[in-house]
Amino acid sequence: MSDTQREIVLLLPRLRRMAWALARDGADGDDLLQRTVERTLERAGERKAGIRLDLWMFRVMKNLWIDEMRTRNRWKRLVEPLPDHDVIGDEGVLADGIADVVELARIRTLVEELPEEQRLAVKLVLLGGHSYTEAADILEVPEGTLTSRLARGRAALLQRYQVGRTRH
Amino acid sequence: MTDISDIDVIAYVDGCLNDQARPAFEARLRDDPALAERVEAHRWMTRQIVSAYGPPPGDAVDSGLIARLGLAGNTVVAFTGQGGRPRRHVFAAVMSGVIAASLALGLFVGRWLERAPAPWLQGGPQAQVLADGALAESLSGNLTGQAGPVRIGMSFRTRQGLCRTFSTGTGLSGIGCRQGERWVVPVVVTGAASTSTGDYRLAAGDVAPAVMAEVDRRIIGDPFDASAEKASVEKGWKN
Repeated sequence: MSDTQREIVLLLPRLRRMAWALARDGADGDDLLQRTVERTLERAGERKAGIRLDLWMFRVMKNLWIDEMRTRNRWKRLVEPLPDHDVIGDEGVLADGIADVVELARIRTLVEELPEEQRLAVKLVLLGGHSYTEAADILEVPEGTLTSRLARGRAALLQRYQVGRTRH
Repeated sequence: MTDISDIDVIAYVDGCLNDQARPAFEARLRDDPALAERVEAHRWMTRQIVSAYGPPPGDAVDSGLIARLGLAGNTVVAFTGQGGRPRRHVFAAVMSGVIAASLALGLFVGRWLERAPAPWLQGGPQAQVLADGALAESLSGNLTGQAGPVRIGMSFRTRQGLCRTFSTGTGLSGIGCRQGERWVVPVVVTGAASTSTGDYRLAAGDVAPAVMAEVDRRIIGDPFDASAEKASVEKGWKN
């Protein structure tokens, strides 16, 4: 096992959490983690001296995910859910349980609908558990830009959530 | 009060206001019910977001994961060549129900041409495959989603010129690219008649995943919108 491989093994818990934060879905998260490790090993020689392996891998993962999302969005209009997809059954589930499920699904939808730069900022900080400084480093932007995206994203979530509430 | 920015409110909620700024913020909070309300709203939303995504994966890493990632022993080569784990297709999340093995890229087109039941394709110079008959007409004149024997999925630009995806009711799908006055068909897939993919179905033509992958490889920029597509039809698909 090379030194890089050994280092990556030690980073796996943090890498897996970031993959989860970005992709959520188990298979997508696994795939993102796999491709990040693959890319890192392929390009180990290109890592600039002085850049930490963890930060470098977080950036690799972020870039892979941005590419993935852009590819998927290109096809979005070609794909629609089957009519009975994701319908919540009403047998044996308490009404308030359904309400919670629906509520949280709505929050996730709102997060996923944020513009890419705000969504990444929100996910890295709130789900990935990264500090502002670390999230800014991963996104390769100044910290002020990160906090501004984070604030705009979260203000938009609140506003859209409240608009949705008054409509229903 | 509106002179306190969302950046400060959120930094406070996240426990990230520095030691100089925090006491002043908290003093203000005591006297400003509107600010307290904003803080509370953001706290609530933060909790909702965290709950909505559920608990993150734990820190335990088992040997199975290490092996799957090719990190156990000297297996770097598995990631650098063709021999690694088969990579999930980029559309895997959407297309997971499709049996990709039933699809074949243009390699089979020669054999297919010999027994083609409908005059969709013809052989061209330099072993090219050209669109013929209703396929050529539809590629030239139809808009995306328009009904007919051939349906167009999308139009897009490539290094080789303007291209469009198509599908026929007979289970043929592919890409046609305009070259001069003809439509060259660099990619054609048979066996795409099965449109149900488990959770999803294709809405604008039954474009096979293998064709989607080829589009991703070739496309420059975004697909055309309706007006760009209409303009191209009217201009006869000249670049």
